[in-house]
Amino acid sequence: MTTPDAPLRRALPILSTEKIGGLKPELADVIEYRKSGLSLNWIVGCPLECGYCVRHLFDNFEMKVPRRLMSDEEAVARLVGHPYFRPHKTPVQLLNRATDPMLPIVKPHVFNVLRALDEQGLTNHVLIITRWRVTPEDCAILNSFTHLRLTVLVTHSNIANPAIEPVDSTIAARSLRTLYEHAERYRTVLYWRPIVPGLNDSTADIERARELSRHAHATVFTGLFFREEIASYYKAHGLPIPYDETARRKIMPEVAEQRILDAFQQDGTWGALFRKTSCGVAYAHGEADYNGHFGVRELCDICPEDQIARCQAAWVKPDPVIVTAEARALGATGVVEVNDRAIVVEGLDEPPRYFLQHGFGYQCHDRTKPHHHRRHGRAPIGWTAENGPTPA
Amino acid sequence: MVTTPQPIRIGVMGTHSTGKTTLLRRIEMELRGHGIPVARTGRLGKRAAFAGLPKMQHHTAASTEWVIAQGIADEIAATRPNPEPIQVVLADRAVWDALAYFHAAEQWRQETPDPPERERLRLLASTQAPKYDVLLATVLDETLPVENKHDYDARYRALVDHHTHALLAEDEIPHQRVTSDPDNQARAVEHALQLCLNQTTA
Repeated sequence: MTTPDAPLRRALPILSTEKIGGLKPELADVIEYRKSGLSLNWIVGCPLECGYCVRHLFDNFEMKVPRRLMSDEEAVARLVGHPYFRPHKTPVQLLNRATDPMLPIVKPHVFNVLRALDEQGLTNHVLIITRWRVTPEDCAILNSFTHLRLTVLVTHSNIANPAIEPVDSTIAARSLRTLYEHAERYRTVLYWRPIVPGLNDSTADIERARELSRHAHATVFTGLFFREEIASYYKAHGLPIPYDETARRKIMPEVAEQRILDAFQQDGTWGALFRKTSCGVAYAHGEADYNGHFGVRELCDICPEDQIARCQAAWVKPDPVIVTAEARALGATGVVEVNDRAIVVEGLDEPPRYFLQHGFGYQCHDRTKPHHHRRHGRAPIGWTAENGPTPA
Repeated sequence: MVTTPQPIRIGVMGTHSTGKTTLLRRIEMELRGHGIPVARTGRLGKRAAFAGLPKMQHHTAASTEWVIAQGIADEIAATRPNPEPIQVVLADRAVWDALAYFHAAEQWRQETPDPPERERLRLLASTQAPKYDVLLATVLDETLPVENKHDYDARYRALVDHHTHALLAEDEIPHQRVTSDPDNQARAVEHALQLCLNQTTA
């Protein structure tokens, strides 16, 4: 459907202080450092009702109409003034947890923030994730930013159950094609997720992804976040429960991954495929991964050779003395180790770990939350074999 | 005195499993994406059954009156701010829907209609006519499979479809037919959306 925006609609209202005070504090805090970047979320509320949405984690799923928490100008000021923001270096994400950035009432504000960042001459990566409509007019605006390294990731699940996936997947497919067709300065990534065995990993689903991968600069596939809050929603709504357990990390069972990789390796017509978001984004821009995933070498077995070479060239083991000094300044306790895969720290939450990771371009892990071989960033669910060492 | 403008009201009617709720949910999603607070009514049939009233081909004048009256009450209740002023009410089963179900039930049971009783109910439903800005009437496509969980009487389902469109035609009630064709459904969603965008502020 091609719905033009009605003219002269007013700006998205800003919630009152009292209403913001009623939100979960984590949601009211507009900046969160996540693995793919410093995430700015100054708009909350979404009508799309995707059953697996992380909004469940913020008790915000019932807020269906987007509203701002502050002005666009203030949001920009908060971002660039954040202690973890480094010009030209820190990857940034806009609105990736509480609304869809391309909803008609939201996107003018996204464009305002992009414009303000671009006008500062910043070259940081900026990631926008959508599953909604993107028009050629939107693409023209996205192409107009001259400094930012902008990537639009289009979430496409192909889940057919409307109770889990109320948004028709053809909307995302069309947006991806439009974005790819009009891309000049920005890049677009097919974000194939969440993959759930038995729900959207059939041969036809995989074929659909292959076909769409031809209309993207890169494709990233990932599993499902199945936390307690999301499991409760599934149960309350009588939805088929995908897993018996919940987990902190995304669930991507080995069998499902293997089916996808088999299809990928047997058919040379796929676009480039990646397991990690930052790997796909970096490839789309012709750069090395900014998360240093090259240190977790088994992740790279599906990457294009030129990309592996690029990542290898950029991947430099940092000086332990400098790393230790930075980690200590951030509050690290215990031994700070720099091994062949990652910096390993204790006593640092995710934000300072990501600050180190993005600063050094080298993985930074918490000693108490080890990443196991071939399961980097994944829950243990669906993995039975211990295929190799389990370094911290 | 300052008066609050009445919300736009969009009703849908049609026989069961013809996509009424899906259609309204799509409209709801689009409107909210434009920042417009929306309320949607629904579950009238289930609630009537919960109240111990007969349903489907067993509908009576009393159960029909209950559904109409409850629908009217629901649509009024839906206009309350929640938490912001509601600008659009989506009525899942506009009031005439209950009449169509009743007429179909009588025919299914091969009963002779009671004209004064029918007229009384029709009058009750007609009082609501001015409230609807858009009325969508789904059209049955018998070639489409029905989910296994529904154990419908196919003849009754078709009779409801017949009476839905007969009633709308006889009473010359302005409405938009919505078929199972995806393009036709998309046009219905767009029509409703454009009307709302032209008459509301985000």
